[in-house]
Amino acid sequence: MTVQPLYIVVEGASDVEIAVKLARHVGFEPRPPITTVGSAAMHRRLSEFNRAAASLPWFVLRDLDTHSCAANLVRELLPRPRRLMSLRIAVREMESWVLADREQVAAWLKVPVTKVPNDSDGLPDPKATLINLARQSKVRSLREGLVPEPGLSSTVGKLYPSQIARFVREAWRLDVAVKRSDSCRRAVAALHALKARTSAVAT
Amino acid sequence: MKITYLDLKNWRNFKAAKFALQSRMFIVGPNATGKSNILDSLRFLSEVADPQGGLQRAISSRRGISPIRSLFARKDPEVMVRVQLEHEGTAWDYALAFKSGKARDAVVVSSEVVKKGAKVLLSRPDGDDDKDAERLSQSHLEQVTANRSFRELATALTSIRYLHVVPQLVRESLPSTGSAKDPFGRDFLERLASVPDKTRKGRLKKIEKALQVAVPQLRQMDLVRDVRGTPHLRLRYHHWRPNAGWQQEEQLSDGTLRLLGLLWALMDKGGPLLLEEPELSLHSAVAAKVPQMMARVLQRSDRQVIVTTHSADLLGDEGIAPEEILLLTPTSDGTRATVGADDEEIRALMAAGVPASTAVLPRTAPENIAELDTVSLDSPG
Repeated sequence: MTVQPLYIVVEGASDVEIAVKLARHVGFEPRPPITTVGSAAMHRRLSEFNRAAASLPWFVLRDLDTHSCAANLVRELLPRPRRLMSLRIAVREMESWVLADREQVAAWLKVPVTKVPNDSDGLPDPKATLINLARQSKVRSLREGLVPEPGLSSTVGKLYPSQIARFVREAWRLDVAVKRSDSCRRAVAALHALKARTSAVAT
Repeated sequence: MKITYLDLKNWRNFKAAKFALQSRMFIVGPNATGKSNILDSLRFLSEVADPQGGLQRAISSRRGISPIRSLFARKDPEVMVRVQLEHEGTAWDYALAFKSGKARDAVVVSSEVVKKGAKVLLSRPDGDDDKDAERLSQSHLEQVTANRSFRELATALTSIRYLHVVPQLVRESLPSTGSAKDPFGRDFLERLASVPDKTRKGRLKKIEKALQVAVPQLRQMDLVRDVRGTPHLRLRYHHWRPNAGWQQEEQLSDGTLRLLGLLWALMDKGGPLLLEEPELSLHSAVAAKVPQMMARVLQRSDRQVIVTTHSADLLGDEGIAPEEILLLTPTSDGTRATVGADDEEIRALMAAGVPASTAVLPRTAPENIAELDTVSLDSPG
């Protein structure tokens, strides 16, 4: 079987590893993902990615953020997706997928598993939940890296992107996350469908 | 040592600029607004504090006071650089002001104040200066006899390091200039060679690993001396010819050399590190990782890192706080320096989770940028 490359677009560095894991899971060979740095920049380049998806598969992943409905947002952003384009929205943010593997998150941060919420897709601000968990972490380097320093008004700590990426790469279990996060499960299903369409085009 | 506050008067582009500095700082702004000049003000103090340097030498190496003094300085001819810093738990405040002296290109100290905590240790001009005006040609910072009560401050200032590796100069690998602080890489290899063997080998091993990420075909790297004792960097690559030899620094790419210099500087110990556009020659995906590398250095050694940058990739890091941004904007009265957190728009955007690149870079692009598309490029005649 020939390898099928997958072009990936994400909003930020902390989302890269998740997208790569999803791609490998369904049997794609991911190209190094494009990080657009924010949703506005992604929006601007969406038609360019969509044009490219006429001939090769593209997987674009963004956060729902404060929008109300993922399906509406997809229609609004991309009314006419090309055949090999898959635009997926994480409800509300990719962090809810991360939190869905409760046991590994708890083990990583060294916090009791009962502190990690059960319904991560229902969280209004999963990123804030994750950072508040990190605040209670027994691991100093994670506390210092993930939580914003006193005196700084950033929403995340300085090492947030690389520490999240490392956790996802080394410990996060996609097969567990899909069972607890419907948003994550549907993204995987969409990727399977994209894989099938790609194979159909190739043959 | 950490520089917490900088106050400049009539220093190059800045008629007046005062701002707080964090452990990690990104200086952004349009071309020629003075990003490098902020780094230079800190290098200047470092050179003044050096017993082998001193005020007059720091001025003459900048070709006299006129290129230093801001064109916006009108009635007030005085130039001043003032820093506040924390060093081993003590807060220091040092201000040095100077103006043209009688002799050509010479300067005289117009005031020099040292505070340790709330206590004033030095305030010049004093009675001795009144008796002997010649004394005002030197700062007390540079004199080991005069700086006894604030020697720690002088030592801390001399620990400031500046790096702007120019690949062409590393390749030329000229013999050492004798200066311990050549920032452009002329003696970069000498500096590598001067570190104890064990430390150097350990660091080069780590750099090799990091370089292999950016340059996947790299296999091995070390430092050797030729028959004349000149150090050379050797790298070996995966190659279709199994016995392809080693390559020396003159064959290395700009990006490889810049990244090597950057990694070495980040691993090096010492005072605040000033870096000029670390993104130069790097692939955008590699440049995007620079802020995380800086953050890891800070977590390990608490070493302050201050960089100038134009890079959207670098500023796209979501861990950057608005307090860590210094935005320079040209005005009709000199460049204005604003900390990101003190700008309402930047603060609001970044609080909404927008990365610094989106919040800040649109403010640094020239307003009439579209004209570059239509400006005539025909050679006259």
